[in-house]
Amino acid sequence: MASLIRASVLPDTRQAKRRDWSVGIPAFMAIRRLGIAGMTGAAIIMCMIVMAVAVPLVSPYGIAETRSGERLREPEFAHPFGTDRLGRDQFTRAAAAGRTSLTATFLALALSLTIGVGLGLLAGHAGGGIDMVVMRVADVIMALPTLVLGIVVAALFGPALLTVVIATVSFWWAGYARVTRTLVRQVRNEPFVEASRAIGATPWRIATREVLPHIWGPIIVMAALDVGSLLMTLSGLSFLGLGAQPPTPEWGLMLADGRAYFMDAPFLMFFPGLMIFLCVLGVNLLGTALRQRITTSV
Amino acid sequence: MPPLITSRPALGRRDLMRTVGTAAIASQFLPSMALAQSAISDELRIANEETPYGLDPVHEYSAGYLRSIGVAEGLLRLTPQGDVDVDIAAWFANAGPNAWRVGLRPDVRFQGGKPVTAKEVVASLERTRALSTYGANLLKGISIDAEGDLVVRFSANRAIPALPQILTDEWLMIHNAESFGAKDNSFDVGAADYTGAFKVATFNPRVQVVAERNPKYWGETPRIARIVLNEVSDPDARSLAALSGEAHIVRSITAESSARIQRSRTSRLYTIPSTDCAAAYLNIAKEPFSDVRVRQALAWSLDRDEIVNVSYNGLARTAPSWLGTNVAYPEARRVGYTRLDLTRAARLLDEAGWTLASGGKVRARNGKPLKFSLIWWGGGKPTAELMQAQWAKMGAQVEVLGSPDYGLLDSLRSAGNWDVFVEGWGTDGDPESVLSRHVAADGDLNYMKYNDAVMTDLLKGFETLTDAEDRRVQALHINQRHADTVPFIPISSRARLNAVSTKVHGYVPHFQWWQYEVHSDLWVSS
Amino acid sequence: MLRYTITRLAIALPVLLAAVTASFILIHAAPSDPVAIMFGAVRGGSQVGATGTQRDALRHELGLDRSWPEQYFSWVARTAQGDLGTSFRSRRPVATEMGNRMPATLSLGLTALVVQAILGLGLGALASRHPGGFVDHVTNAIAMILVSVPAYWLGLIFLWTFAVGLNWVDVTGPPDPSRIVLPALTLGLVMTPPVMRVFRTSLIEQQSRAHVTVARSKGLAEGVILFRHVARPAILPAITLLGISMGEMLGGAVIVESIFSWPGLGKYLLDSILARDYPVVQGYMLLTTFTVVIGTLVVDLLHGFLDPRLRTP
Repeated sequence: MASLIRASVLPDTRQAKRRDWSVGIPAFMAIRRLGIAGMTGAAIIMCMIVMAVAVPLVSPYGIAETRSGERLREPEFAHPFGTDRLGRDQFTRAAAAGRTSLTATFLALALSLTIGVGLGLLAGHAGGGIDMVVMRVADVIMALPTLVLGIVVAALFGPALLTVVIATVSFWWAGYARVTRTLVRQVRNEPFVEASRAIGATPWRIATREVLPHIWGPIIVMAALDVGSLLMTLSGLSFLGLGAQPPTPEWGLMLADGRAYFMDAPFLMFFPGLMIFLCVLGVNLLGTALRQRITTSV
Repeated sequence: MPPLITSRPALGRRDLMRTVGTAAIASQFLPSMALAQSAISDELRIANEETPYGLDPVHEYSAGYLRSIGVAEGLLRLTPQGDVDVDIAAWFANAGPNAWRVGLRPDVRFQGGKPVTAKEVVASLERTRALSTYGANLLKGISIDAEGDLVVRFSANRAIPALPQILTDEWLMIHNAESFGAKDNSFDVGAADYTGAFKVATFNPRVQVVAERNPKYWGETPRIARIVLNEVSDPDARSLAALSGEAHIVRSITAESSARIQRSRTSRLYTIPSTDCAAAYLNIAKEPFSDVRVRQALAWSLDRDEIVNVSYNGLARTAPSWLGTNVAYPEARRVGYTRLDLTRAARLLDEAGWTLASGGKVRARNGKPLKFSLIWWGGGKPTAELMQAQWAKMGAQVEVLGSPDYGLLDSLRSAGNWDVFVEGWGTDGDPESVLSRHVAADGDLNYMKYNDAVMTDLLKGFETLTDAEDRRVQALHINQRHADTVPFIPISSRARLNAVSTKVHGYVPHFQWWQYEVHSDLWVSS
Repeated sequence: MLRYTITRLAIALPVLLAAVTASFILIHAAPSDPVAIMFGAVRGGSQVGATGTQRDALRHELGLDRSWPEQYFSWVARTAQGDLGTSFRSRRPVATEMGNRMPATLSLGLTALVVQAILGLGLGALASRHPGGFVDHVTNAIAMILVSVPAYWLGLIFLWTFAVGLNWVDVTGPPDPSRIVLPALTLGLVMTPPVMRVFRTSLIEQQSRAHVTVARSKGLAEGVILFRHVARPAILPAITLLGISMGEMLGGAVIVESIFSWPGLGKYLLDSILARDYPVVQGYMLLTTFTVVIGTLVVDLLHGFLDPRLRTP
């Protein structure tokens, strides 16, 4: 449910005259047509990626390099983000954390999409009993408190980044399944689908060749807008201690570590949060611009 | 030192925030607002991580808190120096190898007025034995009888030299058994009849206890009229409460926020000398820990000073040996792993067959790398990370794993599915019962199934020793054997930090948190 | 309409049951048990621990030695009669424990809702006056920023700024009106954007509707038009969204409650899960799934009522 609400959040200032779902492959290749917001978003993301890749390579500090003499230093030229309680350079760690956090986010997204869209296609096509079952299961999943789910999965599999990915995927797929199923039902009575059925194409062929290309526009948009909240959920679970383990750098984990020092060394929790914020902002800007491109191009 | 006159911050902004908030919420909060504003100058406010779950001493997690605020008392108590002293009792004496006699003060009364006779004491202790697991274990095999009105006799069919120490335990509070009744009666304030200087006035489980001066108290009338004990479970909030003066005494300050309290002019930081020992328990049934040389090498390669500085801001003590942090065993500090010795550690590992390939970072033996997992839980993360880095210098590849969930550690442990975990346990109390929990073959805390013939003999040696000093020396022998065989690696004590407002006078820190912080000489200036 | 209602109800009940069963299985599947944790290092402890026999006795007393199906059915039977069981840790009824903490969580949720409503409806209305104009862009930017901020980060920043830096707010004490401002603000701010967006869109839609043109041509005052003909119908989707997000807020408040030491259900639930206090966790799961399912049902019914097209299954 969270993802549905978030997906509907971002305003498009140019009103769409008509929601036209039957768009082919979204034309997001032409970046300059994304508008100022979209370009800002893309720029932010490019910066984050460059930082995530380049900084650990050129930095004189290791990610896990503890330096007892330099503990809890305030941000200075040698340590732009300060150092933590073990003397590790926070800038290097924050940059490397980008890699960890974003990889986990995209993994979770890919898995959720696969499972969700797959089940949604199945439910939409098969109809009847299978449809009911899948949708009810999705309802049940969405009714469970996500935090409890996260803790229990962490208890079962041991806390690790992979664990929170699994925990998140286990409830994230439901949103996609629902949306896919609705879209499939809207499309399945269109003439071109009927035609396919008439010439005896297998359901698999219909699903992949005819239906999917027509509906994946809005799904991709929903996914793009979801990256932000997915990242925040994963970081949130790591913040609670259920995710990434030391010395892996991860923004949520760094936030949690910094929290103990929030009175004396507030910079420790400021920067990881800032990273999350910038990342999510960039992705949301880009995603909104994407959606405008898709829905207004007729 | 003259009391410092400190002023609270201007109320203007606080009033503004209150108005904004009040507009949003209805009157259900007005009563609590009134309470906060009527500041009483002889009120003592304590903020603790946890407050009582119940008022009945047989209820879990209740007795200690009540004792710590002077509501409940026992027959005997421990002084801050660690000696057994009288509390409600007037004297206690050995009556043969298997018996003790404890004499009561004639003027002790319950808060409700009833005099405390030997019969009442027996009833109280028997009730505890019947209704609580810990009580039953503490009093196992001990018969309790009243001899007249003022003497209680404790006897067993074995030697019980540690009885006085047992009687200081938080579970054995003397209470009015008749008033509490035959079952756990934790939520009826009227039934909570103890002997202490303060009587429970209101009780909100896990939120607040308010206790008021007991006019019928047998001892010296306390100068404080009222005690408010609040639960503040968030450690940062506790530190802030100490700094802002919201609470006069704040327990369990984190090491990370201790620096701020040390710099504060309105609050003093007390390091409570603790006797517990945080240690790395090793699964000696598995490789590589089955080899004692590996265990010793790992013990030599820990920089305990660095751990104490980083994890506890220098406010804990290193533990070169198991009993090294316990003030009752000063000799133990000169025994065991008294310094960082990487060369010796390297030699031991080489001897054991774990060698470093040239230019390699991780040691290996027969192709198998020196790799293991280290489990932490709760607040043990900083130490675990540091140990990971320190052992990496020795060529060990350590994977750290942990969460706030204690159940995870417990389940891994029960399944035998663990390598190393860090846990801390106290070492104070009767040495035989405390130490055997960890190193006796059937000890309930002997997670690693340690079974050493020499250690078993040493533990048996306690049976014939009745003198307190003899027992202490025996404990030191056990400590030495432990250092030689190292089933778990002692690291350090854990910092127990209390923040006490400069307005509080007469505060004496005690190493057992439930012993008297609140006593008759304590007073608060306004 | 009646058939629609019955259909939705018939679907809601099995979903509720399935969600509750799933919760039960989940929490019991987590390894370890409350007795082990009660006697573990979490408590530090007395000079002597508990023997294996004593632990088993406690397990028996708590009903933990029965099989899962047995425990499940006995819990369902008791719950159906209104008895939510007794907390393992405190030995008090679950209903009492949750009831004690409910006012704090509810008041936080409601205050955050007020924040959300004021900001969301206000900004949405502002933005809808001149779509595409400067104000619209500014409010978009604000929405974009608010939706990208993690609630836990914002909470920590607020705490540090107002409680530590400026010392305007107390950090501990009873759930005071002055203490509710910061957590409510944190929660409310991050959930404002959806409301803002929906209200803005529906206001713009309503403005161009036929009945508004009619009202204008009738010469009614602009204020009356805006309020009765535009805002009233437009506010409905926004209110639906506020209702849904109230449910979300109750779940998401866990971290915020612990940051601000707000004694609500969230932190209590976290502690109960870690201590494996099954009755409490089950009671809480029941409460939340019930709320969500009923909430969804109400929304479905409302939409069915408003839009007859949706009633065809």
